[in-house]
Amino acid sequence: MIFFSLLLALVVTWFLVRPHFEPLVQERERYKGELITLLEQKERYVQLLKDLELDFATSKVNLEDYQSMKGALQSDLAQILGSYDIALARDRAGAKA
Amino acid sequence: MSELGHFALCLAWLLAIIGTVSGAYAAIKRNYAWHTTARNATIAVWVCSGIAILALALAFLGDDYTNQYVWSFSNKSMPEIYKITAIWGGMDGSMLLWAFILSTSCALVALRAGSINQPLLAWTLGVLNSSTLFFLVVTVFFTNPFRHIKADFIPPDGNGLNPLLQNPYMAVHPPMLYLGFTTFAVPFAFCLAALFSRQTSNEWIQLTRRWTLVAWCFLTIGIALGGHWAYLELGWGGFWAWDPVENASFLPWLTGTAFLHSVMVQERKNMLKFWNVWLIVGTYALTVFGTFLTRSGVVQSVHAFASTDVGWIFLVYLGLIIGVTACLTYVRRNELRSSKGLESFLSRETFFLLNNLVFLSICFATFWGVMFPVLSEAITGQKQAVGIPFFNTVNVPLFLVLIALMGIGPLLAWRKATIASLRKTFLKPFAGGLAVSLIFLWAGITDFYAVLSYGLCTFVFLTIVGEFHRGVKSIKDDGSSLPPIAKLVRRHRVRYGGYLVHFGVVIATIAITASMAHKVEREFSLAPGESLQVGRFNFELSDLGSRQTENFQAWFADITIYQAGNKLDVLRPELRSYFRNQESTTEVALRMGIREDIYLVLGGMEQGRAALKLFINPLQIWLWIGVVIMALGTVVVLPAHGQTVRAEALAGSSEAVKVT
Repeated sequence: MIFFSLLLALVVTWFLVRPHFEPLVQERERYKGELITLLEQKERYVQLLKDLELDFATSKVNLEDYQSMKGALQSDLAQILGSYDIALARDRAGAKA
Repeated sequence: MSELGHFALCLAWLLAIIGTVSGAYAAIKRNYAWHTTARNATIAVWVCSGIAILALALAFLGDDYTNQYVWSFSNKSMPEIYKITAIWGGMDGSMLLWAFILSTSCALVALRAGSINQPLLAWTLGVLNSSTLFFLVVTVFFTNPFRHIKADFIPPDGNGLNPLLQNPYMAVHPPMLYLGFTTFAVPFAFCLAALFSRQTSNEWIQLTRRWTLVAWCFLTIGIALGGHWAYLELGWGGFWAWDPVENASFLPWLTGTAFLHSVMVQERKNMLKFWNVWLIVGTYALTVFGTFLTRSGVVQSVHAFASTDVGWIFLVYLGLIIGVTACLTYVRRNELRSSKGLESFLSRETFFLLNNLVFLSICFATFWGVMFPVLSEAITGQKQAVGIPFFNTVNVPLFLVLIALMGIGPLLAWRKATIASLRKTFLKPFAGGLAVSLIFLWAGITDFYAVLSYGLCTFVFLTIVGEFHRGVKSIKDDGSSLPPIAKLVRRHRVRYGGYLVHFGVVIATIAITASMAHKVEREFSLAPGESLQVGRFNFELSDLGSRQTENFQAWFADITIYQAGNKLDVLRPELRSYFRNQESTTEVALRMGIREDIYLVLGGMEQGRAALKLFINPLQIWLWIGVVIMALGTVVVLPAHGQTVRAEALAGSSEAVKVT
């Protein structure tokens, strides 16, 4: 039991300390993570736009609101797509390096 | 094996400290290496607490009576399934299970989002680890399940599990509740992280939407399983007695449900930010409060199987949660202020707010009912009991208001609805509801709440049907072979999944109303060969006897049920006496049906006669069906695109950013 306990402690220590010795891999991982988040945000905004279309089609939103809400959502979506392009470029540059 | 379990538990505690500190440090210093350390520590906590719970399970299965906890809650004659469920039969194992399930949620967050270098996520890992740390502190220092027995010899057999807990439902009910409770820690952690990192936009809500839904779904199923266990095991013919421990699980469900609705207003209108912060913090705090209530022994309950004197530490933790949130919301008050207000009473956001107020009113009334005996004892020295009538008198009308809002809210437009659109959408459902109420009145049902409830349920049902109808009409033909309704649900999963949940609530409400208003309850005694007619059914005592197993002695009565002269079924209620701890239980005999449940309890046997208690519970099965529909609705709501997004991101495809 003492052997297994020591082994567990050693493995855990290595697992905790390891990130401090692998900076390049971390940077690459970081950009991948950003891409995932941005794509999730994109999906969410696309869904919000679809819901807004349905609200308008079923008379839940009047024309004035529909136009202002759609404009705000599209503007946010454009920002997300812009950020995605930048993150993707950084990711590709990192991969080449 | 217990030594390894104990070591793994202590290591998990140490790792949770490292995870908390490194998460906060990574967030403040924006240091990615420490962020990854926090992430790895979170995963390691999960592995170590997993080893600990596995070691405890092996100690139970191996009848290791050198372990105090195993000796207290198990014995050799128990089936293996109950040896496993005995892990959470007492306080020590429950806390370990809680810590393990919580660390599982934390590890999933770490695995899913750990590679993102953002202060929000680093803070989230810090807060999540601090939550796990609290439960590990309780487990390691106050309720350690790996303590050795205080005796010079190894006992030949254990004490055994409480007979009421030797039920298949106890294999799933507590873990399901814990899953619900602990999963709420994730949105809570993201919320505090958003406040710490000053990222108070809607991002934390979007990131935690799925977690909140999963937590809500588990909690709903957990509560329903608890109700079903009480129905089958406690023998009083009902499923919900407003017992303090039942209420303890119900309180976070109420605030969690309110939160699920109010976040939609924040997402759409950027309002209620402050409100949402307190709703989710309140929900998490109520899960901790529920544990305090269950485990501290401050209230008497048929469900409180593991009372200890560690209640104070839960109160300290509760104070910490509320104190930290109060400080953070004060510091971030400007960021949390809504830029817009309500523009019209007739708007969807107003009705979402009303819905929230009703949920919180029910929550407050229930909380007051739970705490009143404790407060009255503290102030006057005499415990004033609050019973079922108080809860029903206060909560039934509030629930009916909630049902009405459930029908009205989805039909209203955001910002401002017009009278013309209301007339168009409301007229038919309202007329339908009114007609059903009048039919029930005409049929001689005079219970005001029952008539109102049936009318409101019809109204909500018709609004849901109308919403589907209008949605299907708005679907344009895209050449796909899917039927329009499937296209509609696929495109708007949140909305139509939500309607499915509402439909489940309608079904469950009808069942609850029927079981409250039209329940038949009779007490009688029969000798063999005698019979009694109750409603459409004739009950004949065909046999009286006893049987013995390794674990207990049972006395039984065989009751043959006839309907219109035809034999329907034979039910066998039992009285059991367990050898090990000399405890007696009643085993209910139940015949579930689409129209009604026939529920028989054997009260005793005297001079060759069986004393019986009969309940005929109309539409009872529909309550459980309603809960299943609610769970299915939640599954529909859960967005299914996570994997696609990850695949797209990893492929780095430019096609991924095309808006379809």
